[in-house]
Amino acid sequence: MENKQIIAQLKALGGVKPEREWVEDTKSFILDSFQPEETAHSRGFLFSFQPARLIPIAIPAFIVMLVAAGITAYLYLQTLNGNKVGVIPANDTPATYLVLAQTKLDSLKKPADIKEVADMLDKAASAIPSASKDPAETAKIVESVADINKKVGALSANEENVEEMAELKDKASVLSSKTAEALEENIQNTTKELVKNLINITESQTLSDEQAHLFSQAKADYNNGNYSQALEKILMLTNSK
Amino acid sequence: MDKKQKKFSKIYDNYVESIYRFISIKVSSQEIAEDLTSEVFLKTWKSFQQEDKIKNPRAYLYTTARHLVIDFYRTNKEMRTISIEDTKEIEDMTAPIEAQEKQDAALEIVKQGLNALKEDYQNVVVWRYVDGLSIGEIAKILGKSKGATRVLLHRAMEQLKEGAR
Repeated sequence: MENKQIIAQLKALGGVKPEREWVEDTKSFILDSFQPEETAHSRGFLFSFQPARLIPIAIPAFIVMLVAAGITAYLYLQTLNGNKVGVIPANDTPATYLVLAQTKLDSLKKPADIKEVADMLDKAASAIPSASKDPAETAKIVESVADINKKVGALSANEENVEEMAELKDKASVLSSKTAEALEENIQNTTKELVKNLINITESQTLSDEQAHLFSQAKADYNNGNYSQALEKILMLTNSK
Repeated sequence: MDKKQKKFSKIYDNYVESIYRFISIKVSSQEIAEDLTSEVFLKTWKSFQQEDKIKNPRAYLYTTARHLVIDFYRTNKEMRTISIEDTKEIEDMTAPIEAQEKQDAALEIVKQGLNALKEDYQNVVVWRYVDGLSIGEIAKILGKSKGATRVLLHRAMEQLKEGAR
């Protein structure tokens, strides 16, 4: 049999079709059998306000209110009794502590002042990991830490404050390394987000074999957490268009 | 019908016939072809709900169909289709007189000839000549280059021709 004859017969197989009724029935069956999972979003905003759903939120909220009322009453009574109440910065972010530390560093007089600055740096350092998710906050932190390092580096100890000064230098060094880590994480997160968006955009584009190969490698890098390498490959495939 | 259902409905409408035909050529009865086709779309619908988007629906559906047919024959070994030699015997025995019957028999023979091919040869021939897909589209489904797909198709046709002699 010739190629042409075989192809003609093969083309005739294209006439094999399912019955119209079966096609419609199957479609309805499939779409009705497995409804998409309901999500809070699909159920609508008002769903969240049903009384039964509010109970798990209301109980912790009530406890928080009680605690807040207790703290307020305690502070009020302490003030009435003439006791000095410690002031917590209203906006106790690392940047706030760092700005306070920067100001305090300009007028260090007693060893207690040095100790106070060391404590501020310690508090700022422990809050840096959560604050570093915000790029604007990270920028402020980096700026303040650079200034603090400069100021702390210029300080010299004397017999009176040698211990406090050593602690301050130690805390300043911890702060620097935590800031560097946060900065690196921030860059990593930004790259991750960028690569994720580029992957989404590239998914919908028609790619040549070579580009498709690069794209699958980029996705594998992304899934393995190698975001810089993934970015490099996506840029390569964009340039090869 | 929500957005997801509408999207899937479109995919179903576009591909149900070709997937049914693809399976129907590989199995012995309409009933089995219908069952397997439903299963292909059920599986796809489930994935579609989880992932929201299927990058290449055609490739996804054909791959699922291939796997289901393989599983079907794995669990029903005695139902494997007949070889080219057997088809010749059938051709001799049936000898239809009417033109329509002759055409049906010819179709049946070509179907059986296809079934005697290796699975990847069979698929590439069906996609190219029955479904009319381009070499590029077939290459995408197979995850091969266009050149490799052309070679595969050529070898498949040679074997099909050989079997028909």
